[in-house]
Amino acid sequence: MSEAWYRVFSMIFGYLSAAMLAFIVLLAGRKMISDRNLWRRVHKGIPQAGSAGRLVVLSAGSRRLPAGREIFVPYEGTMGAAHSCDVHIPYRKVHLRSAFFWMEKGELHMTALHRDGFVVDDVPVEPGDEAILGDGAVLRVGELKMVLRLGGHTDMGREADVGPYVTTARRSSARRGHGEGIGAPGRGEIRREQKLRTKKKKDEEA
Amino acid sequence: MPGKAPVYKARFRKNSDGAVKASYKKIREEEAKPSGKTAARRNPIFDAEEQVTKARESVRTTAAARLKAPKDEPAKRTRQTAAAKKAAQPDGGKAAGNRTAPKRAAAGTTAAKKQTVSRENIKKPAGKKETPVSPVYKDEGAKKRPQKAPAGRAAAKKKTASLTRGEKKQMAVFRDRKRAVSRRPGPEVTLIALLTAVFECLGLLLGAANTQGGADTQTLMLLCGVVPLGLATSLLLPRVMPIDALVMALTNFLCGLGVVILYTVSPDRGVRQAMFYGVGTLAMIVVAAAVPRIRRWRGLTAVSMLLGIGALLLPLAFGEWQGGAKNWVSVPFFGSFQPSELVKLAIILAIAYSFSAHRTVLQMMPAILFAGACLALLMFQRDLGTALIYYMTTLVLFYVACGNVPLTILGLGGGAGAAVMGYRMFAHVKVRVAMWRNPWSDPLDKGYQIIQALLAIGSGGLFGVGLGQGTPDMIPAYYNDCIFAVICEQMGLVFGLLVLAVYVMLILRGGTIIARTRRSFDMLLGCGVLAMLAIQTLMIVGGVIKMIPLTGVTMPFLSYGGSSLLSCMAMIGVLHGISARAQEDLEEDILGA
Repeated sequence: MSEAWYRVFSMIFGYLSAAMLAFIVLLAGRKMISDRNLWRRVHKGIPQAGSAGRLVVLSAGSRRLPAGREIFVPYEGTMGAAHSCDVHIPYRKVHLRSAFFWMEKGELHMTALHRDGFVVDDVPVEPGDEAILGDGAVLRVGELKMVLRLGGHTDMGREADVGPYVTTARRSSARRGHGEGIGAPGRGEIRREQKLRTKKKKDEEA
Repeated sequence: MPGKAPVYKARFRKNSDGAVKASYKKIREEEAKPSGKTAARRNPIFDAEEQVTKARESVRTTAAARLKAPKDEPAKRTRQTAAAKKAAQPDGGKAAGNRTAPKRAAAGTTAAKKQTVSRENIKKPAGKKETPVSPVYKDEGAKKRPQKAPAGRAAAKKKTASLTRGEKKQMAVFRDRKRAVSRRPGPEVTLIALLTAVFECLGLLLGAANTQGGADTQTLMLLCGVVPLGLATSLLLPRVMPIDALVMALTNFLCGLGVVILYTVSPDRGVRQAMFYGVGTLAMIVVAAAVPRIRRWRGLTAVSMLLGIGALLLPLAFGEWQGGAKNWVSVPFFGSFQPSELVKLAIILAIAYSFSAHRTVLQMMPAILFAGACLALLMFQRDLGTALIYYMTTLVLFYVACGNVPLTILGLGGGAGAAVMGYRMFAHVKVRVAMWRNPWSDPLDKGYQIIQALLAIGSGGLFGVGLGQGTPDMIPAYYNDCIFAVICEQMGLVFGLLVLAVYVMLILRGGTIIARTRRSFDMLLGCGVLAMLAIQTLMIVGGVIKMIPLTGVTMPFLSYGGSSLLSCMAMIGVLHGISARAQEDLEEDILGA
């Protein structure tokens, strides 16, 4: 190859390689954007730390929460109307941070933080009460009615062996407002709740 | 449920005891629809449960059947579905026609009733065997019966056209999840790999024509080695190992570019660089396979810290002075290597482990002391460029791990103090700073390298003088420190900027990977790798274009050098390992969901 032809070819190669590299950069950008969108779509229904189960909405008065919607429940976290909650329930009667919950021995333990009228199988859950929900427990707030399905998708049709039940407050000292546990209530919050309870009891007695 | 259904309006009242009581008033009757929303509105609490469960089950069964059924058996599936439907109907399917009664007819909609046409009313084509009508064509009803099942995209379109909205949504979710766990590299990565292969082929052939006057055995060997290696690692390796295909493709492009440029300007170095590329790829595969499998990092971290200190002591004992620094060690029958390049991985590992396992500064102290010891040893070696990379990486990881702004600022201040001290202590640092400020003060000696690099970038113009053209050998260390100037001269400024864009893409992709990790150790490990690659690239490019004082560090993946390429590829292997762990977690979640 003569010098002149080599120059011509090398110049052509320069232009061609610049175009190819620009195309490579664009392709890489496209791949990153499509992957990001795919990741977001996939993660809409999957919690970051794995799901202990799901809440299936049976009925609701909100267009943002239609019947049939599944809300994945992680192993530990907060529940409420705020987007930052692990279980986000966009319903007007649910408080921004309504409850916190954790899995213990195959059951979901839930402690209400506010009096927003949660009812677990027709038993109202007051702030400070610890509701223990098994598979098939029905959770209700106002018109919103959800059923808890624990375990993977294979367990969806399984009936609960033992019905869910709600106990009175039995929080251990470790959880008494010392910051342990995600979304643990503060001391003031607990004090206010205790005051309200005492007042209510006195009223009842009176 | 066919026919009219009452619509209730809910009213809520508070009783005297404060309890909320709901009452329902019948307001009108309307056609029942299978939609979950309508069902919920019709009777907000009591009727919805049954209908929603039914709708969900039907959607799930249909979507799962469609995904699982093989493409070549539509007729069989049709027969089964139709037979099952027939059996499920209370009158055995007689009232609603033979077997094509769609779901909407069962729900009682008018449109669906219109579509319910008995197949006895349709004339059979003479001499042709009866083709079962699939429920996926139910919108066309029995008026138009397909002669044969359409294949490919058209069939898929027809299938999806007949699905309800909920089914389509469910199908989309299944499709997305399949794509998310798929190990196929995807069309973009395939194209990148092919373009890289074309670039390498043309570049190597052109380089051979420039240096040897045509393609010889060495060129052919290079072509047979580098191009298939790039294609295999970009397209086949992601199917075997859960590595990130885009990171691999971009890394391959950078390595291939390095080989092509080096082969054009110095064929021997190009061939050796290709060999280093192969060894580096092997190291990357080993590291990528090991990272997700290692569950206990404590022992490995301690060993790597000890080995790191030992490796940095080697040049002080047996090293040679090169370019004002004593950071190379010669090994008989092997050549020379730079221990500080290999210690990069050890420092990232130690800091990531210590910062993720411990939360207070005191607990982090062993890793900080290790980083400090490494910096001190590098100062003794007078390898200030690498010391700066180590220091900045440590600081970035410290900030990412604990987010302590005052301590990070304090660390920055300490670094600035050390820089001033280094400036006063070392004469060659003073010279480098002086040449950075005004290289024309000594254009033939101290400022020669930077002036030549700037001239090369300027003479290349926007699109370069052409591959193999120009005078790259005029620049001291053109194959190593100033490879970016050579690229800009031969291929042009546009190409140089696009190469930087590839680095940016690589870093951004790495950022995406570390954002997906769920363990703080993985995140810090990936963050350290990215910080190190980014800082190194910034330092050398900034030095070549006279933005900062030129330091003797290599440009990742491009510069000639086995130690550098090996450490960079091992770092990319770490990134792949982290990506594999994130992918494992995602797969577990998808299976559990």
